[in-house]
Amino acid sequence: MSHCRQQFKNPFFIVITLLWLSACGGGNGNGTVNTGGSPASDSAVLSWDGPTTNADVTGTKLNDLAGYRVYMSTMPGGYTASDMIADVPAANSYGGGTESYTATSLSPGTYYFVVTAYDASGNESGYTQPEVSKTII
Amino acid sequence: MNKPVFVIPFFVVALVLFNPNPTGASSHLLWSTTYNCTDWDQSQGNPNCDTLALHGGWTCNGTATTNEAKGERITSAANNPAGGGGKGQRHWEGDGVNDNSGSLKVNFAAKQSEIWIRWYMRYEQGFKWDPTLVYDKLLYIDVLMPPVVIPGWGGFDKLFLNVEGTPYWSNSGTGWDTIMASGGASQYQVINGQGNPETHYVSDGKFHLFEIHIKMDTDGTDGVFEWWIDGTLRQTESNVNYGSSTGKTGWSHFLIGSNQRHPFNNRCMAVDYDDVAVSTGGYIGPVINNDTTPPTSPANPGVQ
Repeated sequence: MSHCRQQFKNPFFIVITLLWLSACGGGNGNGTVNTGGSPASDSAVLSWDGPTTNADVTGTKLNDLAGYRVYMSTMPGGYTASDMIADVPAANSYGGGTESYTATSLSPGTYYFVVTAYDASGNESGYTQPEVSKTII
Repeated sequence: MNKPVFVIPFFVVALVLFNPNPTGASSHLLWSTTYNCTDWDQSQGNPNCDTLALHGGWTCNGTATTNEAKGERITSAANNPAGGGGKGQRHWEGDGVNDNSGSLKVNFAAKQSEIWIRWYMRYEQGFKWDPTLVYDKLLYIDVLMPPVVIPGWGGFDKLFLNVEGTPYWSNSGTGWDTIMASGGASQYQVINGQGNPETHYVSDGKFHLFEIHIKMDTDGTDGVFEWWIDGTLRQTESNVNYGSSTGKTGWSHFLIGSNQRHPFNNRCMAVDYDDVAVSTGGYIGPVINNDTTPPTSPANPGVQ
């Protein structure tokens, strides 16, 4: 955000600028991997637990997890590829642990979210259940 | 007139549908490993893994921690998730000159005059060279036996093939910086020998696909060397002199993991190899993974 780097010589503007800079910290595009803290009023912080097994009969251990796809819609259910808003790399190839993603700059309205996991061969899991939603006022 | 009926034998159908060896496009593999073996480190002697043998007893002595001091290892931490098996070979490279762990050696039953070697390789994310990347020998073919052939990084910008001390250089824009930039690595500055700053790339922390082709010369002028990285041909030589007359009978072995100059990371860092294969019948290419099973769904979704 280039306007956060403006310089002023007037002391009054310096104080105002410092206050403004403190509010600018962490500003970033339309989505980020969440690093903690309270979500902004126009943001939705998603979280989920990574899988550790494959969806086969015996539940073999997962060792090629590549990442997660986050889908968002203003209508519940019926997600398509065009609803994907983020591709989040997996922290490791074995899964497990809690992952998160922050959708930012959301306009007022209700948003529905699901997440899938995919492996290095491109195989994608089913959606997380239940579907979760957040209303931005 | 009745149309002729062709019956396709069942075994032909089965052969087409079922590929038992997900190692690549070639069916002329002389040797391969996915390191799907018992965990191992070099303090244990030879591993029990696809005929691999320990070569060299070095460790990253300069800055080793307890774990790294065990040197070369076979571990799930070095696994290429897009490949076969569940483990890989972890090599360690420390700061300065030739501060590294041992190697694993592949022996051929008979000397080979033309081979392709395919492997996947990953440098731990953030791996840096400073003040410069002089060399890093990725493989060491026929160590101490002519004709010694060493493919490696040659500076930040090029690849090199070293044959009995004679270097063959690739064109600019084929080396470390290009490959790591393609993986989205970040940049850093070093001060070169003239005291000027240069910008280079740290490791991207991702596996890259390597393959070389070496073909023995017949008269000192027609040896072949080709090198692909991530499927792109980066270096080709058609006039290599592979050395002495005794060497022209072929190559008998190679080392996976070797020495280098100069990493600068204040500790030993991991260099992982996986899905290594040797062909005598042509280009191998990437691992063909027949996995069609997805992961289970992520659980416990929440939103704030």
